[in-house]
Parts: sequence; C-alpha cells; structure tokens
Amino acid sequence: MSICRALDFSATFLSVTGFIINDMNDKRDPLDALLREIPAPSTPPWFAAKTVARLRRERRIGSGWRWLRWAVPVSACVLALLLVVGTPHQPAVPPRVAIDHAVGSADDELVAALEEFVAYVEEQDQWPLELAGSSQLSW
Amino acid sequence: MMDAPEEAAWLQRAAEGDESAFVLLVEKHQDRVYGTVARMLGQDHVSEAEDVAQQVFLRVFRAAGRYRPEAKFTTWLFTICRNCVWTHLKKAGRWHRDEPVSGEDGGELDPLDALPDPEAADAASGMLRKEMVGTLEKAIAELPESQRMALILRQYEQLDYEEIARVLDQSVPGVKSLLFRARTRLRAALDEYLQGT
Repeated sequence: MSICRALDFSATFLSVTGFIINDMNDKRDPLDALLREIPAPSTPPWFAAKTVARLRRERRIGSGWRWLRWAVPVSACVLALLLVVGTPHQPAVPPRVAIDHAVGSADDELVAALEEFVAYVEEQDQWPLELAGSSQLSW
Repeated sequence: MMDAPEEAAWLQRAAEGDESAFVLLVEKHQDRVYGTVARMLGQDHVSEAEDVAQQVFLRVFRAAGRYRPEAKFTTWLFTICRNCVWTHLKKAGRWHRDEPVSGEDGGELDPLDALPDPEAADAASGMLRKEMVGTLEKAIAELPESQRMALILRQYEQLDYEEIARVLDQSVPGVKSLLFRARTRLRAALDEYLQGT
C-alpha cells in the first residue's frame, strides 16, 4: 500500500514538475498571453540597404589596408637581407690572435735585421771602432 | 540537422564575395535578428538595435566560409547574435550579473490569475492590461542576459530547448532552469505592480 502511495506521489510530483518546467510555452498561461501583447520591434525598411552599404564600406576600407598585410613580411625580409649583405665582414682571426701575430712578425724582422747587422760588422771586421762613424748602415 | 539548404548555398556564395547572396540572407532573417536584438537591448535602447543587428550580419558575412552545413543555420545565426549583444552590453556597461533568484513563487497564488480576460475587457481593465504589459517589458529588460535571451528565443523565436542550449552554450536542464527563473522574476514583478495599484 505504501509503495503504491509512494509511486502515486512520485507520479504527481513528476507531472507537476513537468508542467512547470517543460510546459513553459503553454498558450493558456496568462503570462504568455501578456508576453505576446508586447509589440514586436519592427525592422526599419532601410535596414537591408544600410547593412549592405556598410558591408561595402568596410570591404573598401579593408581592401585599402590590404597592402599592409603584405608590406609587413616583405619589409621584414628586405631588412633581414640588408642586415646580412650590408654588415662588414668580420676578421678571419680573432683580434687577440691578430695582435699576437703582428708582434711576432715585428720581432722576427728586428731579429733578422740585427743578425744582418752583426753579420755585416763581422764581415767588415771593424768591430766596434768603425761602428760609430759608419754611415753605410741603414735600417 | 540542416534546416534550410538555401542558407547554406547563400553563405557559400557570400564566402566567395557574392553580395547578392548576402542581401537575400539579410532580407530573410532581418526581422528575427533585429527583433531579438531590440528585445535584448530593451525599449530604452532600441535606437542601438540597428547598429548591433548590422554587426550581426557583417559577422555572418565574414564568418560565412567557416559555416558548416551540418549545423542548424538558426542556431549559428543566433549564436553570433548573442555574441554581438553580449559584447555591446558589456561595452556599454549594462551587463547584469546573472544571480539566482532567492525566493520562488512555488505554492503562492499567481498574480496573473486576477488579470482580466482580454476578450471581455472594458476600458479600465484594458488600461490595466496595457500598464501590465509595460511593467512586463521593463521587467524583461532587467532580467540577467542569459535569462532574457532564453526567454526571447523561446517565446518569440520558438526555438526548442536544444537549440537554445546550443546558442547559450548551456545544457538543456540549464536552459529550462533559466526559463523558469526568468518567468518567476516576471511574475514577481507583476505581483509587485498589482500590489502597488
């Protein structure tokens, strides 16, 4: 008996809930009747024409700026190319090595010149008396 | 699922830049879009409806290439419409907070039971009815946006719950709840008006 009552109650509850939730658009509902009495907004007669005109205007403006879509990547490419081509070439050796190399070369030349000088003096066998008065020496 | 193959064809042509197809689309759906936008913005801001409705169609044109005929066109259109209205209301600073209704009218007497029958109405009751419609319009304008949109789509556009759910990005029970809350608020507003008169 109690099960039957419970089932009956459930059915009543579901039907009431269903009425409330699902039957929102019931034409007998006074609220719906009032809602239907609210005047419908009327579309202005020029609406379609103005919309198309606005579309054309926006497309024209859009096409006017379309070059910008290409200008940006093209400018970036040109700039990159200029950077690559226009940059002066770096020295083949690092600066430090270049200095060392330059100093080494100068030393070699000096040593060679001194050796040449010593050889010259020994060859003349006038060391060191005639050294001061010699005018033939040249660096 | 596709409700109108001609819309799909028009959209395809519009996506290729055909303005005449766009005109056909506008002419067919302008009343629905304009009506929904105007109702969403409310009678105090109906002058803005034209601009927002135009934005809806311009977005339709721009997004025409992305439309898939598997989707129902009206759902797609009203989703764009909803986005435009939402954006406009937020920009204008007229966005309501969607808060739950604290008191519901379950078990209470319906204030509308006292409403005079329109067919048997005399001049006084006709006036009362007119004022109630005005009160209802104001109450609709004060509903939170989701509730208002759900009510408009259901009441005036006769969309089914599944469609409204897709437009509002909600579940079907969520839409039913929105509608229930909206109607509860409207009844409460009318009740307040009737008690004041």
